[in-house]
Amino acid sequence: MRNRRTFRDQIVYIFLVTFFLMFIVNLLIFQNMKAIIDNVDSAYDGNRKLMEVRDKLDNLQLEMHEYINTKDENTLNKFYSDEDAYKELISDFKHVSPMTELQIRENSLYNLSDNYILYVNQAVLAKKTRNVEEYQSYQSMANKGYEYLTAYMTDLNNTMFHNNSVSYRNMLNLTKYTEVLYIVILFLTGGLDICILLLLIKRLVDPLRKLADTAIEVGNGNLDVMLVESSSVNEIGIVNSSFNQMVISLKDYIEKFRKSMETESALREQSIRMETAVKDAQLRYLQAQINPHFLFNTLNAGAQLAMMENADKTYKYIHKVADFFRFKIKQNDHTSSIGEELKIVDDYIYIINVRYSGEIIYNKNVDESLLNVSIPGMILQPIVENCIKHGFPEVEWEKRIDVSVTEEDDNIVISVSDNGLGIPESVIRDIMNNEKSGNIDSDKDGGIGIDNVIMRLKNFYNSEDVIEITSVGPNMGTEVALFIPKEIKEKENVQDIDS
Amino acid sequence: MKEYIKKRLIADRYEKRMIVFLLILLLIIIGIFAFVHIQLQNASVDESTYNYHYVFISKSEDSYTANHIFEEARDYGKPRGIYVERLKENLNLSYTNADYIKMAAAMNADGIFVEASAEDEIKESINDTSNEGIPVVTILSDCPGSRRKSFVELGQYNLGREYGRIVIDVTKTRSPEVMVLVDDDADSGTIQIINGIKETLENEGNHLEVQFVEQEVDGTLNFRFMNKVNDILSAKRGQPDIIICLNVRDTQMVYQAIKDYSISVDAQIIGTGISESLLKSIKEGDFVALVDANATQAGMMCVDSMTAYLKNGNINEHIIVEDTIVTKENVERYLNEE
Repeated sequence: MRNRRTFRDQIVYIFLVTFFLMFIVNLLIFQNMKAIIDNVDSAYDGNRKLMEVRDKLDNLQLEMHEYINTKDENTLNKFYSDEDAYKELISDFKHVSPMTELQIRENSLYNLSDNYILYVNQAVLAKKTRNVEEYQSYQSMANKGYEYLTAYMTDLNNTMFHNNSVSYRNMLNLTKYTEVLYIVILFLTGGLDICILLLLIKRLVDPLRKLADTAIEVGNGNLDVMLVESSSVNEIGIVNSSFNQMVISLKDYIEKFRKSMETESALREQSIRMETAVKDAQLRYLQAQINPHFLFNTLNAGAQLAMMENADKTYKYIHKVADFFRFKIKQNDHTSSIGEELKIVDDYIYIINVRYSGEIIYNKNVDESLLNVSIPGMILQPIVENCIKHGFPEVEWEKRIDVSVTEEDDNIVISVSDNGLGIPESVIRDIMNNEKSGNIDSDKDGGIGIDNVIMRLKNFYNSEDVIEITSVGPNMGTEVALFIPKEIKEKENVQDIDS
Repeated sequence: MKEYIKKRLIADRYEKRMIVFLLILLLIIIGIFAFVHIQLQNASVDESTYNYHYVFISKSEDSYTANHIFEEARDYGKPRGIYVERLKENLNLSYTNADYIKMAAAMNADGIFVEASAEDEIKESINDTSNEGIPVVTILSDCPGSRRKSFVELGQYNLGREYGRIVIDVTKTRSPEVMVLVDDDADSGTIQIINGIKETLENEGNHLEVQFVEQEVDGTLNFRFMNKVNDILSAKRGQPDIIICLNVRDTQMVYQAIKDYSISVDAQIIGTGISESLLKSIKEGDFVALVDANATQAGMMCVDSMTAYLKNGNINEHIIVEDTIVTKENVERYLNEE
């Protein structure tokens, strides 16, 4: 059954249910209490009524005697008036079977009265007709009837009083403990009210709570929740349907969004792939333009020509240049051995000396056992190149470069020193801190800068203490010492043996 | 999903529990209301209803037998819709039974039970009442020649015969001395009982040489009576073998004298009137037997005969009620009834 009541109606309904429950219980209590009070109040009603009858009876008896004695018309009128009043009063005592004990006795009283009234009337009538004998006889019978009546009335009154006293006592006792019971009832009704209230509020709030739970679930990203069932078509029902609609729409939207994202991603991937292809094509094109083989073949051709012309020096020079570039292309960003590094330094010094007419005196002090140690490629040549570029310009004295490869403690120390201009302390600090230095940056002319060498060494050996640059002062030359950890060397030796 | 169903189930269980609790509370409240309502009804006096109203008139309110018969008639009539009212009980008037008959007739009662006598005044009252259509049934004593419808007789003569038979049964000697206590104001009923005793002893007890003594006792002063009893029972010589009490008062006085004076009784005492103390006296051996009219039967017969007359117009004119004899053999049954 669907709840068609609005939210407001339901709240009013809850209020009315609890209100009416309390109202009905209070009404019942009130009625019961009223019944008890009425019972208590009416406990002695019978006695009171009987006393009224008795008073009227006495009047009647008195008036009968008075009339018989005086034959006064006023007394007679009064007698008839009282007789009517008495009959009216006594009529309440007439009952028909089945009767209770009290009713039987009241009925007996009524019959006794009836009998008495008959004699009294006969006596009065006889008096009126002046029938002395008859009125005296009826008067005597009326007197007897009066005696019977009063005696029976007194007895009935006593019985009634006794019964009423018992009844009154019972009622009073009942009143005392019904008070307690009604307090209990009020408490129980309060409990009942609270129960009903909780039950109805629960029914009212449950759909909201379910909605809230589902909303939290949805908020946590779970869109596969069971949709909120609604048994009502009120505001809550509308909110539930709207929420369900929202969840369905959200799911649709997310599905659409996901599909759109997938499409976009595919398009972007395709675009990147195309771009890469274009760049690759461009690179290939450029590489094709500076094909080293072409360069080396050209240089080799030059060397052969020089040899054919018996120009040995030219042949050697071209050969050295070819070797230098081949190595440089091959080894850049790869590892090489110390021996190979020294070879390219040799070639480079030779080429430079040809350029500068053998100005540079180059000395090597190498521990032959260390020639096979692997080090990052192209690290010595850039250092030597820096010595020539930055250490020797405008130097008038003999230009010397000394390279040594020695073992010291746990390291292999490769030292490159010159007797050039030297480097200021601040510049050394900048170089060591990997800050750009205008003087030292050698990348700009196609070479590899010292900063690049330092970075590669540090990365390769995963250590900060791999290089040390020392310059004693201006014109005092510079020494660059590389510290190659021996561990590496040992490992390499083991690998060599294994291989 | 499972969590959701679990929550729903918990919520349903909570709701069911709440409804059960609610119903229990409702039942308690209804129960209390019903209880109060019943108490309210019970607080009023007995509300039994009756279809017939009979009036019971006895000579004396102190008469054990009459009281007993009235109580039995009242209790027997109540569940049958018959209210038996004892007219003389609370009126405190010095009226004769004839007056009470007239009064009952004026009350328009359905029937009248009266302990009558042969007096003309009573006869006249009975006749007047009968003429008014109100049936009169005499009890205990009759009004011969009146227009009463029936006479329910306890059978005093028969009672005397029962006394006599008990004497024959319990006597230990061949020539027992039987003493009958006779009040100085003894009525005709007492004489009938004595006659019954004598005749039975002469006929059925002719093998015995019974010495029959009628001992007159003061019927008005209790202490004199008790002194007399004490004298008789404490005498070292000349104690009667058997003592017979003819009414309840005498029986109770004898019993009290035995207890008050701590008399070790050698004589065998036969009494009348069934009460708890007297039944115990049989059990203890102070009395050998109690002879009494069957009051229950008498009350029942009164009510039944009157009702039968009102319904059918005919009635048995003379109804004799059986006697009750309590001895050591059957005393337990009567004690249990008491």
